[in-house]
Amino acid sequence: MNLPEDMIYLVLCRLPVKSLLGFKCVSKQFCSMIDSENFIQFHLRYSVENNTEPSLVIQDKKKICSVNVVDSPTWQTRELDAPFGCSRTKILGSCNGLICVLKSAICSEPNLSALYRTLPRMYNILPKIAFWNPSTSNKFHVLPIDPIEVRGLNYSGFVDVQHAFGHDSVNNDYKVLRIVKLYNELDSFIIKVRVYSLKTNSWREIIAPSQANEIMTVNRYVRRYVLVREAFHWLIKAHEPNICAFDIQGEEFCTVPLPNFGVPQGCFNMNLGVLGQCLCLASTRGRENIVMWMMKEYGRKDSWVKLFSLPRDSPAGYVLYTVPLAAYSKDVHDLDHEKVLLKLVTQYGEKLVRSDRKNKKSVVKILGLQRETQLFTYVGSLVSPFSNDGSKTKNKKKRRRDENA
Amino acid sequence: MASSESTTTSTTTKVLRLKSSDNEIFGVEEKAALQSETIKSLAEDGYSEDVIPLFNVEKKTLAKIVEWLNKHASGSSKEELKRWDADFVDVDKDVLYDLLLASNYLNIEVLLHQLAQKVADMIKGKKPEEIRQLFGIKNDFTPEEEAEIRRENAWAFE
Repeated sequence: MNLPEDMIYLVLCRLPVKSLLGFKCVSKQFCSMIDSENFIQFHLRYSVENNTEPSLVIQDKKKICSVNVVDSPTWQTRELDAPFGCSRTKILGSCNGLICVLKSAICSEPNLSALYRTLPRMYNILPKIAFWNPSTSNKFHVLPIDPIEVRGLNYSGFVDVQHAFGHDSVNNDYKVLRIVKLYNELDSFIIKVRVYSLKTNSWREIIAPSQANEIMTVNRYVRRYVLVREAFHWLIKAHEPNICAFDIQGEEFCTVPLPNFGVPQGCFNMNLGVLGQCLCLASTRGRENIVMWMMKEYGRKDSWVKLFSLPRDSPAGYVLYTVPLAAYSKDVHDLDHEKVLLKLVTQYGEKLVRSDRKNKKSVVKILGLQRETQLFTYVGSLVSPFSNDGSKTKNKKKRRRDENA
Repeated sequence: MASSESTTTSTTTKVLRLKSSDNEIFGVEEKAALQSETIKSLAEDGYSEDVIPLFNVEKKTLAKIVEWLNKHASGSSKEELKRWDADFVDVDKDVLYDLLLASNYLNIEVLLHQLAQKVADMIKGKKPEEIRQLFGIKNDFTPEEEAEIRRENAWAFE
């Protein structure tokens, strides 16, 4: 009995990457189907939309692991072979099947400023950046180094750099945003914003509006950025707290409203997160509860609703602040079974907590892991971390033709 | 036949007559039948007073499909439907394939996804040899080619 190809697509898109890689040796037809860009995108879309079994990528001091989120109180880890190993490496973010990893430069000490002042272009302050698909292989794509131009500046040697990683689905392009703040010796600074595109495998300068500086001054306890609806979001505190966003496709900054709290709020006790496809905010203040807000309709101030609240006295200790990590459900059509994964930071350290709609909480233990430092939700996919392989081979052929001519 | 009975007892529920490829006619209440996008567009094209011919579905498969359509239009509770659906798709693989092809042809989205999920659950974790047997696929790789793919994706075979 033979099933037509579109039926096989419907079946295979529901399988984890591990099964699909195994099925590549069923037959030539299966192999070329699983390898095709069409199927890879179909499988990715299905996995993102029906995130019934999310995975996490977690980094502790010594290793990077993947974890399958399951219903039991303990989770098993699988150690991953990360691009630059683990020392001086951090995960920047995870998006549509790829993970972006940074390896920090060796010398970023201010006492080297004298050296930098003599260089017209800075290389060694920037981290090495790689795109990586931990589900398919150990292969990874290292981004070209894009030195910071300091020619003509009275540069002091102090510099702040921030990165963000996301996907533009309109152009099917993975991008990195880089904001650099260069201080000069007169106590002033300049901001440079550049965007890397995987499609062109190059960096490009874009206009830096005033928000870019506010992003550079966010409290380090506030999560660096949150990716929702193909835009990066930062909680900023200009005159009052606000959300600054960067649209990955349009490459533009804009402002997104916060809820109407009724009382003044500081930035330091709030954290942005993403649950489902919605921007969320956990506010932890005074002796009150941790209140979880959700913006049901993106961009609308009056669509912020209180989702639930948790007491600050938790099984993990007294909560200092809360990071919403992920929402998942065994049954996507049944919100009553939805569970929310939170990171609670208490006086004893960080704890992962799972909570359902009825506010039942339980602490999750991840086996074989030291105190985790970075934690990202992740969708297993067959996506290639390289810029479209097809066009690469085409270019090669073209070059060969040119050489022959 | 059930169809003529329900037209006489109730004036509000219309019954559509579906004909299988081997000429068996099934009467199905309109509300139930219209869960199929294909039947819906055929009915809109003026087939509704007459018999709706479904050339690609045999009677044994159509009987199962009609059973599903009726159950899903009966107003059963979510929990009951869930249990019922689990039993419904618990059939051998040939029946499953026939149902999959029929629900694709009839364009019944919900059923199509239930069946695809069932096949996916069935093959998850199976060896390539077992997949070939299940789908009736011939291995057209040379032993060297197959070994190469296994080497490239070694962790998938752990």
